[in-house]
Amino acid sequence: MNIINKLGTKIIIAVSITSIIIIGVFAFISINSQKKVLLEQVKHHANQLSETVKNSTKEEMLFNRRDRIMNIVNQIAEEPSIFNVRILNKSGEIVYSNDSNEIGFVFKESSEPCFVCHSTEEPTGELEFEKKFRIYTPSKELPRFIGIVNPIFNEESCWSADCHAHSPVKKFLGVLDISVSLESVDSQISSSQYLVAFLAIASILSLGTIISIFINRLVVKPVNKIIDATGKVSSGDLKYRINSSSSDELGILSGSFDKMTENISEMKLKIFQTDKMASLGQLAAGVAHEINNPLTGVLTYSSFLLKRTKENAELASDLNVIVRETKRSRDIVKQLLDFSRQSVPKKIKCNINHIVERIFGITKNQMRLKNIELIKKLDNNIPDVIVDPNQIQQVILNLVVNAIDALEEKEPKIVIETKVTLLKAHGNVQIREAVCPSGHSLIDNEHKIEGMPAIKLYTKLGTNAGYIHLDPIYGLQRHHYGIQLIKDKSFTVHCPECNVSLMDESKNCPVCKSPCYNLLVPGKGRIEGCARYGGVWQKWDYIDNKGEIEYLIVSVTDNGKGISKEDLEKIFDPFYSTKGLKGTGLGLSVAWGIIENHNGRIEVLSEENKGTSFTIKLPVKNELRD
Amino acid sequence: MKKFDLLIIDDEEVIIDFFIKISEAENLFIDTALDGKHGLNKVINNRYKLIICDLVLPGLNGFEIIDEINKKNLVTPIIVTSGYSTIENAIKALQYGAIDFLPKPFTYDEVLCCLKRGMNYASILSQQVESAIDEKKSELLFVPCPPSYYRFGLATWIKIENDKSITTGLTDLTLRTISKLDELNLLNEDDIIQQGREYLSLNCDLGLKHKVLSPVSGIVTEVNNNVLKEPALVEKDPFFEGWIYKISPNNIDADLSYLTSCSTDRF
Repeated sequence: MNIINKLGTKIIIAVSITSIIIIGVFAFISINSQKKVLLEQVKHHANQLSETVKNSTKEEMLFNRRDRIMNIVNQIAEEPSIFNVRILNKSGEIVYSNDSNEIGFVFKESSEPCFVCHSTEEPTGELEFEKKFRIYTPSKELPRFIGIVNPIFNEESCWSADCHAHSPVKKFLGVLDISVSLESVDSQISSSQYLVAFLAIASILSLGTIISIFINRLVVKPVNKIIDATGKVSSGDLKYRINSSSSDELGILSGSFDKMTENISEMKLKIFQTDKMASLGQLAAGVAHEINNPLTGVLTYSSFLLKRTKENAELASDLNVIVRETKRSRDIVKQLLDFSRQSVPKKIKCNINHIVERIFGITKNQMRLKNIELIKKLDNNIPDVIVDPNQIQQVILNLVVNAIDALEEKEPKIVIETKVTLLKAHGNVQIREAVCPSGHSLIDNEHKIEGMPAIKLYTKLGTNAGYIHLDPIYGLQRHHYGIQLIKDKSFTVHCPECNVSLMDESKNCPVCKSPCYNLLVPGKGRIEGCARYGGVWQKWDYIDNKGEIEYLIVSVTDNGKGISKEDLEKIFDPFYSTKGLKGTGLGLSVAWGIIENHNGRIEVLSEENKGTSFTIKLPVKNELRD
Repeated sequence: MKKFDLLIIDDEEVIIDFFIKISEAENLFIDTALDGKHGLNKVINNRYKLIICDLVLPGLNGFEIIDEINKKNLVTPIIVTSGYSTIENAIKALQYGAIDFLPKPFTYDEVLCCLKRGMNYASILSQQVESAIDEKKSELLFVPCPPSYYRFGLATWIKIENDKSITTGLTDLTLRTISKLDELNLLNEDDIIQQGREYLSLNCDLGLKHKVLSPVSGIVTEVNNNVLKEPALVEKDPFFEGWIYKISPNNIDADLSYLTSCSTDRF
């Protein structure tokens, strides 16, 4: 990227220009005021000097001691800062001066020492303090000077003195003109100008450097990390995380980005899964049609031939093989077709034990052939449940067939157990409905947690807002957070539809005193919970008051080769099979779907070389399920 | 206008060839069509005793052909066959008025069995048409279902009892298409049955087995032991004493949408 286009460079340039303007103006003002102060001091000093000269020569003037006056003038002029001391008479003639060459020179009214008063038609007589001064440079080699003109007024003593040099009519007798060098002042000013300029430049530079360091650390680096991450994620690396530890806006942005990536990768997985299932459906339909037609040719002709060769026993038996194997292919295609359209369960009241017994009948021969010991632990008192018996049979049969396949030659054993267990509602019951006070459903069928539609809430924390999905199992905490929350900080939740607050102002979490949310479950009371990130408290009085809930358990346990940890995570994925060519990898994914449709759960425990146990949990009573 | 025994509409040549072979063996006069439009044209322009029609076809599909045939009030019986042999297709075919559903791939015997029943049905139907024209010949060719019953295709009936349980059995028409009923292969009590899946198979002459599809889904609560002992009872009184199963249905309302009320027609 062009360096000018970089965010850091832009901020540094902006800050530098701002500081140059501010510091420049500041330096200008400070130098000017310094100049003013110094000049003011010089003026006062010169004025004092002028008054002193005037007073000390007054007496000598009255006595008309010209040589004494000359002396005083010369003595004063010896001071190095004083350039010249002149006394001019009313007509502008220099009467006394430290520069003897000047004496007798007549200034015009418009000339430099006279101009102050004589710029107007008639001199006012009185001179304002500021007007007494003039600053000038006599020649290029010489420094600047400040001249002070001090008018000498006519007084009674002047015309009554013995010399009678002045008449009483005159108002002015002349002026005392002293010029003082401004060299030291100018050098002071220029040195302080240099100092200020140096300080200004230094502070601009250091400001720029410090700011660029901070910007680099606080903005450029984290932004670059986010840019990096966006690049990686957009190129498909959905496992990349920024893992920012900062808690500022960029930290929150990074956190949200991580969250977003996580959600995308979950979503992608889900879409992938759905895609797989959908394409499998199409595939199965296609296979059924495309394969069934050629199979029809094989089966019809082979069975036709078989009919015509009844007399030839050898040929008939060979043809029989073709017919048999083609029929087998037909059954496989049929299974694939059945899978491609997993229909809605047609539920009726039935006894699971009967289904299990029927499965014993189906698998009896296979078990006998493999010398499998079958242990039945069927509880005869289990209540009837409302299920689709075909589908449940399919699931249990699948588990039993898997168990048979997993068994090894040494003492193969399968245990099938049915029983009723009471489980606490907390941690087991699914929240299937929840609404906001305006009646909007909070259940998000698009977003599932462990396969169940989650509860979608609009969540705010400070200025940050987004969605969280609560675990639909009452009491469990597998929530999905769509926004960055801060551990142990409480947040507020709102209806995603109408934004109405779902917080309960009158109640606090009994565990940590944090604020509580309160969700309405139509006809089934309210669910309250702790609105703190990391809070676990949740309460649903309606369900808790019902006591423990009856679940029907069917478990199929074998002592076979077991399932490895890596495989265990994937066994419910469609197409995942460890049976190689013998399996389609569809059985368990279908089983999962069926049990899910029955609002139950299927769980698996396995240890390699020890065996595997699958457990199906089905709620006995309908009311909590639908 | 030509007269044929059989029209086969299928886009697979090998299947057409097979039907030609089986027709030769059975002495049937066969006509063929490779796509839906040709098939329908032939149905309209010629006379066939029986039509066998595939579902997935170029041009019109099987259901569209049946629709057109029904619209034109052509009474030719149709057997639907398909490689996409799902229960849904089987149920839909019977609902559309097909007399049978023949899933692919099939064996020689399966086709033969189906053909024989179809031809028998066709001959009953033509006799019925004749008797309608000539009142002197009028005779009862088969007993139709009682009005309060429902039928699934033409093969089975159900009756909803007061206690919401279902009694089911075979129609008289089905029994007339089978030359003789020797033995019934029935399900057991507590067995699960599903609409469109096999309900029972009939053993009849030539060692052929006729598969009958179930009209409802549910659990078999009772099997009529009398008909097991004496299959002839079914032929004697198919709608009352000769019932087959009592069934506890899963979802009778859903099943009913594919059944036809017997109060509105002559079957």
